[in-house]
Parts: sequence; C-alpha cells; structure tokens
Amino acid sequence: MSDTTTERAINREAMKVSDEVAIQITDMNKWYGTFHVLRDINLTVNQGERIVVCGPSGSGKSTLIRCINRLEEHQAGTIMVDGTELSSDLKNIDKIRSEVGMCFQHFNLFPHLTILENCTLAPIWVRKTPKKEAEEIAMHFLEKVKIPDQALKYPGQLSGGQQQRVAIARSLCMKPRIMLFDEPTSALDPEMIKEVLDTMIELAEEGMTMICVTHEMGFARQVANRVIFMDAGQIVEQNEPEEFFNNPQSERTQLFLSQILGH
Amino acid sequence: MTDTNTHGVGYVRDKMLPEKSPPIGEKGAIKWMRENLFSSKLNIFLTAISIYVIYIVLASILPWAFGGVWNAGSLTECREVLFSFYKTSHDGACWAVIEDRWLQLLFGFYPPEAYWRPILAFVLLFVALAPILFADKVPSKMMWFSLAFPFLAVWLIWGGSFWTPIFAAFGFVAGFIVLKILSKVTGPIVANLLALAAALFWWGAVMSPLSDALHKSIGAGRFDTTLAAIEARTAELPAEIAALEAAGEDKAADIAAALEEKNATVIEMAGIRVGEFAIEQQIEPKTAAFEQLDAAQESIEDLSDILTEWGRAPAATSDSEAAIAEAERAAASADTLIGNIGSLLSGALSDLEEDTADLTEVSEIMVASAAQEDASILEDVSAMVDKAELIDPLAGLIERAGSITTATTAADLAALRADVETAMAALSTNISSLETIRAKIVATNADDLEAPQAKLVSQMAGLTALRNEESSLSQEVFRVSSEATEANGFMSALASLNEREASLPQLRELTATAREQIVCKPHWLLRWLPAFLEPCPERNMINVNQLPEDATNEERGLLSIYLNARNQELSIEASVRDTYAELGRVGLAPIDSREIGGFMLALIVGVAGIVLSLPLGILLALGRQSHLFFVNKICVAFIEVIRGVPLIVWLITASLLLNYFLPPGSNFDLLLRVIIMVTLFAAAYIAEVIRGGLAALPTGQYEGADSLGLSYWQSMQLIVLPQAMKISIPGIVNTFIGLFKDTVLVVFIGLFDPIGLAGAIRADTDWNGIYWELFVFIGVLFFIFCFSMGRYSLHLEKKLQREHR
Repeated sequence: MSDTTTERAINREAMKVSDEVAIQITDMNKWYGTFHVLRDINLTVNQGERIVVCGPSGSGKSTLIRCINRLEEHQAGTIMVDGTELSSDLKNIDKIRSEVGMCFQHFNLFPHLTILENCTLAPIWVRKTPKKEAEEIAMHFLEKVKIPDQALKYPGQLSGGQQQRVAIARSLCMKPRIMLFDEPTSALDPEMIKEVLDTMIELAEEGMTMICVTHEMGFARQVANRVIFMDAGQIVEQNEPEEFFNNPQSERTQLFLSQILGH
Repeated sequence: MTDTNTHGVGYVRDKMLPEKSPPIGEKGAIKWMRENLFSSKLNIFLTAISIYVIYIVLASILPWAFGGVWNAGSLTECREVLFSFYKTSHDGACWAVIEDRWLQLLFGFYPPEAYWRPILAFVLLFVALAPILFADKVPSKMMWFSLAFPFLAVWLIWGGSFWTPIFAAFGFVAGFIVLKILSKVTGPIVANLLALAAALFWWGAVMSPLSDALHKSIGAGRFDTTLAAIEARTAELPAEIAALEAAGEDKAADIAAALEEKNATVIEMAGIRVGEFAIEQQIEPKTAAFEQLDAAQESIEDLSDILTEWGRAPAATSDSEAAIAEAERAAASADTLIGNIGSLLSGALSDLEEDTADLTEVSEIMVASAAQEDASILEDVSAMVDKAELIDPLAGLIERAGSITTATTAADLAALRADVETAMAALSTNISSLETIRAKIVATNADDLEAPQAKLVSQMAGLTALRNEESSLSQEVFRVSSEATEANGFMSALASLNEREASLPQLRELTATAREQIVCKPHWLLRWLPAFLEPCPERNMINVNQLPEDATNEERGLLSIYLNARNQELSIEASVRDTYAELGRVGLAPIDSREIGGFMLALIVGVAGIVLSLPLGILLALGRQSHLFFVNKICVAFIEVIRGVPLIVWLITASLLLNYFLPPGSNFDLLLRVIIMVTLFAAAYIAEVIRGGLAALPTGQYEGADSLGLSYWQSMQLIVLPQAMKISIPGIVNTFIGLFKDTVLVVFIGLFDPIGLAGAIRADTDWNGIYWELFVFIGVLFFIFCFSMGRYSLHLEKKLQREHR
C-alpha cells in the first residue's frame, strides 16, 4: 500500500515515550466458544507509545484491542490499564472505559444526535461536566479535527472522513490517556484517508498513547515506535518500524509484507 | 454523444449549458393527471371504475346522511317526517336518536351535574399531552403538569378529597427519595427493589389510615355545622321537588299541546295526499296480481316442458326401478304445477276483486282533491278501464286452468299461456297509467305540501326543544330527590355516629376473646414450636367450611362465633369510616365506577392503557434482551402467555376470576381491573414491537456507547431506546390504535361502553329498530381519535427522518 500520509515533516521529537506503563497484558487468552482467538498475549505499552498492530484478517488484532476496553471479555491472563485490572467488576470497567478512547472502523456515531451532542454526551453523563463546559471542550476538539462548522449537523450529513474525525473528537472529549483505533481508515475513500491520518498524526505529536490496528504502512513507518505483527491469534513479531519493514525476521512477516507492499 | 461526433474524438466543452424548463406536458396538473390517472390502459380503466364505485357509494350514503331527520322523539316520528317528504326510512337517517341520546353515548350514566369534571379532565389531557407530543414547541417545564395530570384526572373523574391524589403521588416521591438515597449506598438493583417496596408500603399501609385520620379530624370539627346545614337543607327539599314537579307537569302539558298541533299537521298533509293514497291503493293489489300472473305463466311453461319431454303423460318406458321412479317424480311435479297454476290465477283474481276499490270511488276522491288543480287527472281516471274488465278474463282463465291435466296438448297449454300474458299486458298498461296519474298528483301536491312540510319541521324542532327542557327538569327532579334520600341517610348516619364509634372498643374486645377461644390444630410438623409461636391456621379462616371435615361441632361453633363478631366489627368500622369520609371530605362528590360509561369509558381505558403500557412494554422488551437468565425467561413467559390468550378471556378473568384470588372483602374496582388487564395485554404487544426496533439497531451503537463509559441504563436511555423507539413508532401507534378500539370489548363484562349503550338505547321502545345511526355515530367518534393517532405517527416519523443511514 502506498504512503498516503502527510508530506510535511513529522515532529518525532515531540513523541516522547515515558517509562510509565500504560497497559500491561500478561498471558492473556481468549476463546470464542471453543475457538482459541488470542493465545498467550504478552504486551507492555508505555505511556506515550504509538503502536501499530497489523496482520492478516482473522489474526485477532481487533479482538486484542477490543479486550483492552472490555468490549470483549478475556478468559485467562490479566490486563492492567493505567494500574487498574480489568475484571468483571463493573466499576473498574466503567473507569477504564472512560480513560480509554476508541475509534471504530464504522465510526459508530449516534445518528439521532448532532455532532456537538455526540461529543458532549459522555462528558455530561459520565464525567458529570456542566453542559456549557462540555460544549466548550467539544468545540475545542472539533476545531482541532478541523470541523467546528459542522457542529450542529447530524452525522448522516457528513462525509466518511469527517465522521471519523468527529469520532476521534468524541473520544478526545473524555480526555482519555490512551486511544485505541480499530481500522479507522478501512471504510473510507482514498481521498478521505489522508485527513483522518493527519488528525491521528497530530494526536501522536501531542504524546498520546495509541494502539492502532491499521494497514496504513506509511503511517506505521512515520508515526509508530513499534509495529506488532499478529497471525493466528498470537504476536509473531514486533519491532521498531525501520527494522520491521526493512528486515523482517519471521517468514510469515516477510510473506505478509511482500503481499501488502508488493504492488 | 452528438457533440463528440460532430467535433471529432477530442472535445472540450467551452460553455456550460443553461437550465431549461420542462415541456408543457411534464409539469403541473397535466403531468400529475397523466402520471397518476391515465398512465396506461389499465390505469385509465381503473380510474374509470374507481370514479364509478365512489359515485355509487356516495350517491347512496350522502342523501341518506344529509337528508336525515334531527328532530323527533321516536323512530315512529322520524318515519312520519320522512314520509311527509316522500321518503321511506331507507332514504333518510334518523339522527334524532343521536340528538336525544348523545350525552348518554358520551358519558354513560355519569351524573349530568358533574359533566364538567370529565370535560375538564379531557381538555387538560391535551394540555398534558402537548409537551410529550410536541416537545420542540412547548416549554419543557410543562412536563411537570404532564406528570401531575394522571392524579388530577383521576381525582376529577372519581372525586373524593383533594389530598387523595396528592397522597397517591407522594408514593412515587417516597420511592424516588429512597432510590436516590440508597443508590449511593447499595447497588442499583437493591435500591430499585427497596424503592418499590417503600412506595408499595406507602400506598398499602400509610396512605389510607392517613387519609382516614384527616377525614376524622376535619369531620369531628364540622359535625355540628354539617348536621345543622343538612337539617336546614332537608327542610327545603320537599318544596323544591314539588316546584320542579309542577314545572315538569306544565312542560308535559306544553308537549301534549305541541304533539296535538304536530298531529294536526300530519293529518292535514294526509288530507292533501288523499288522492295519491287512493291511487296507491289501486296500484298495490294490481302489482300483486301481476306478479301472481307472471308466476302462473312460468308454471305453465314448466308444465309444458315436462309434458313435451315425456311425449305426453309421464309413464315408465321400461320396467327398471329407476325408470319407474323417474316417471313418478315427473308426474308428481306436473301435478304440483297444475295445482299451482290454478291457485296462482285464483290468487290474482281475489287480489283484484277484494282490494281494488271501484274507479268511481277514486274519481270522487280526485274531484275532491287533486283534480281541482289539474283537470287532466280526472280525465285520465275516467279513461281507465273498470276493474271488471280486468277481472272478467281471469274468470275464464281459471276455468280453463281447472281443466288442465297431464293429457292436455302442448298447443292448448301454449294458448292458455298466451291468454295469461294478454291479461298481464292489460294489467301492466293499467298499472303504468295509474303511475302516470300518481306522478301528476304528486306534482300537483308538491306546492300544497311545502307549507305543511315546513310547519312540521318547525313543529318538530319546537317539540324537541320542549322535550329537552322536560328531560332536564326531570333530571333535576331526580337529582334533588336523590339528594334528599342521601341527606336523610346521612342524617341518620350522623345521629348514630357517636354510638357506633363508642361501640367499637367493645366489639374489638369481643372479637379478640372469640379469637382466643378458637381451637388451634397446627400442622404436625410445627407442633414442636413453643406454644406462643405455634401457628394457628384456624384463626385466619374466613369461612367455617374451611375447617377440615373431621372438625367437631364445637370447633365449628367457636369459629363461627368469632367470624360473626369479626364481621360485625369490620362492618361497623367501615360504616364509621364512611360517615367520617363524607363528613370530612374536602373536594368533589365521589362518583362510582359503575356510573362511568359511553365514549368516556373508552377514553379512560384507552388513555390509561396507552400511558401505562408503553413504559411496561419497554421494560419487557429490555428484559427479553437481557443476559440475566431469570429476568429473560420471566419476560418471555409473560409476553407469550399474555399474547397467546384472547383479550376477552383476560377481561373475563379480571371481572370474575380475580375475585377468587383477592382477599375477601377487598373491593377492587372493576374499571381499575379492566385498565390493568388492558395495560398488560397492550404491553406484551408493545414489547414485541420495541424488540423489533432493538434488533434493527446495529451492534456498533451499543459498542459506541460502551466505549464511552456509559452505564447500561444511560446507554439505553440516551442511545439505544431513542433509536429503537423511532424505528418502532408505526408499530407502537398501530398497537395503540388497536388497544383503543378493543376497549369496546368491555361490553362483555357488563360495563356500558358505547356499544353497550347502543343496545340499551335500542331497548327503549322509542328507538327500537335503530341501528345504523347509532353505530355511525360511535364509529365516527372512534375514527376521529384513531385517525388523529395515525396522522401524529406520520408527523413524528417525518420529523425524525433527519438521520439517514
């Protein structure tokens, strides 16, 4: 896949990785019924890290990041997010979900609410922010994703790229410490992919911890400080982007990269 | 394309084309008609057929509806008026029944002096609905009124002290307070359950003692003044009643006089129309005779067919049983036909002989009436043949028919038939000339009748006004005399109040002692308990028959002494409570559910059912989606059981069977039971409709809500339900419309809904035989409400269509 990311110089200097651990996954296993989807996943993500997860479809990438905010339940091992362990305790789940933002392939905006209402809903109801303050925050982030003029429209009136940027703004309104992206550009026209990736790069430049499932290898090369390759429910290879793309170690990774970069 | 061709392969447009208006046939009314009415041969055909059918339907309904009679005291009077306008009862509606009984159809037997209460409640209903139905146009603070409305409406309709609805509402407040306090301490489920328990405790154990205490304290203070007022009032009442009755008698005399005048007009009109009636009397028997002759002619033809088929008299052609039987059948039917021919001909003869007056009499009547204006009528009458000329040929025919046998030749039969037809032709000419004469008479009468017709109509209107006045007088008499009865009853209740109240402690003591005496036989499994803990099922019995069969007479006797004492105590207690309730009431006169009926009943049941079934249905739908095993299964079972049994069965359960399950002596209002049943029934359907909406929602919406950290109830309230409900609007409104119409089923459990009242009205001799007018009225009332609901649903769907997926 070609590079669709920005031509401007990316400020990698700003993307500092701290020593503080944001996510710690230890020996995590997950089954769908009897199907073993995730096998012995071990992953530590530090605060400020940008991690790109790639791999063939069905390899468990989406399931992995959906486990991090408990959209999927894991059956064995532990997941610690910001020092809180994910268990069936509803309070912990709600706490983690409000700290972890997530963007979906199909945006999952609420079609019956305006863009502004989409953005202020969670701050008002979960964080108990006063409405006026929530709206100010929402407008701030909408400006950041460059669509403040669409605030009073409904999601159905926006293009796919704009909707995805609203989805990012909606997550940011909760002031999350971690952002998860689940194939955020897969459902977009090529023209719109760039505007979403630009937004994500800006976010990375501000030091946001990000885990991103994507096939945008250009983005991975420019922004990620680690690329993880998954296949058959396990982490096959992880490395710094330069090393990962130029010198893949495992055969499976080499095959995958040759297929997606080959044309 | 052409551009490319003329300019070669390479082509660049240098000027964009301007907008043009479409051709004439492609815009406006012409386009609409061409597309919608005449788009194809089939469409043209259907358009023509539809217009014709609409014409036929309207041509029969509109004259009936708009040519109806509004002023009449009974169906007979309706027919009188219709007849005076040359109409039969099929050509004109008798709306007078609606004019006479519309209040009853609307309110049932609700006391007329309190009509303002349901009317006010109805008007306030719309005020309360406004913030819900048109949330974007009405200030949201109005919601407080909407929340208070149910309590206000119940109080307005059923009456009672003003604090009752406030106390009832406080049950919700109590539940809410408990919920608010506990939800921080315990989990949401425990908090909800305890809140429910608190509300139930308030309604069940606190509310009515508190209300009784208020009644008592207010009542005790008022005792003397009330007694004095009632005594004064009772002294006035007989005179008032007498005055009203005297006025009623005057009115009755007025009505009798007006009736006489009306009858005079009717007679006057009959006098004008006497010529017409005379001709009518000529036409009727002749038409009957004509029909008989026609039948005779057909019988001759049939006979001739049979005889021709068999050659002559039917006889068996072979010895086989079948052949013999067939010949016998043919002979028998030939004989029957021969008999018929004779009797039909004689019937015709006797019709003509007995019923038709002599033409000379008709002439005389004509001279006296119509012929004065149109001399040609008399000429026409005299030009007509005398009845003898019609009768004479028939005598000959009868003789010839008498001689018919199976041996008569076909030629003879044909000759006979031809002669019968000749007689028919003569009759038919006669009838048609009579009809011509009648038409002339009607034409001459038309002018003369105009004045009396107008007079009759105005007399009828006057009569109706008088009757209305009389009926309001008699209503007033009824009201005042029942007030007198109540006042007397209340006076004696007040007189004995202190005594009854004083007797209560003693009665309680008696009951307690009798209770102690009862022989206890606890279950053998529980006998090891210490004596004061041993349960005594006998002490909770309400009937001696509940004792086991081997109980001794002494045991039975002791139980029955206790039961009698207890019943007496309870009834005295209740009577004291009732007297205080009456004495200490600050509010509206109480009205019993049995008095509520008519369209008002349908509205009460319908609106209550709609308002209550929606939240219940939502909860059931969410329960059915739940992952909690028991919540899920209980909801599924509830929905399936309620849905799987006809509503009428549930209503009958509510009216009859529920009594067996309720504690004895509890007087659970029938109307309330009906509302509960209708609500449960509708909720099961609503639940399924909303489940459809929930299922149609993409899982991404749930995930989106979850990922933002919204709790289950928050995501339901803010994300899932608004969208699911929007999808379900048509289904929900459809269910509501069905529920509203199904309220007429309460007629089967003895409530007087509009249909039941229609039956009651027809049972009145005045209106016996009226169907259409009553049902049209009821149908129109229902239609207005159901149609409005349907329209509102369309409006809502359009309004919410902004988000297109």
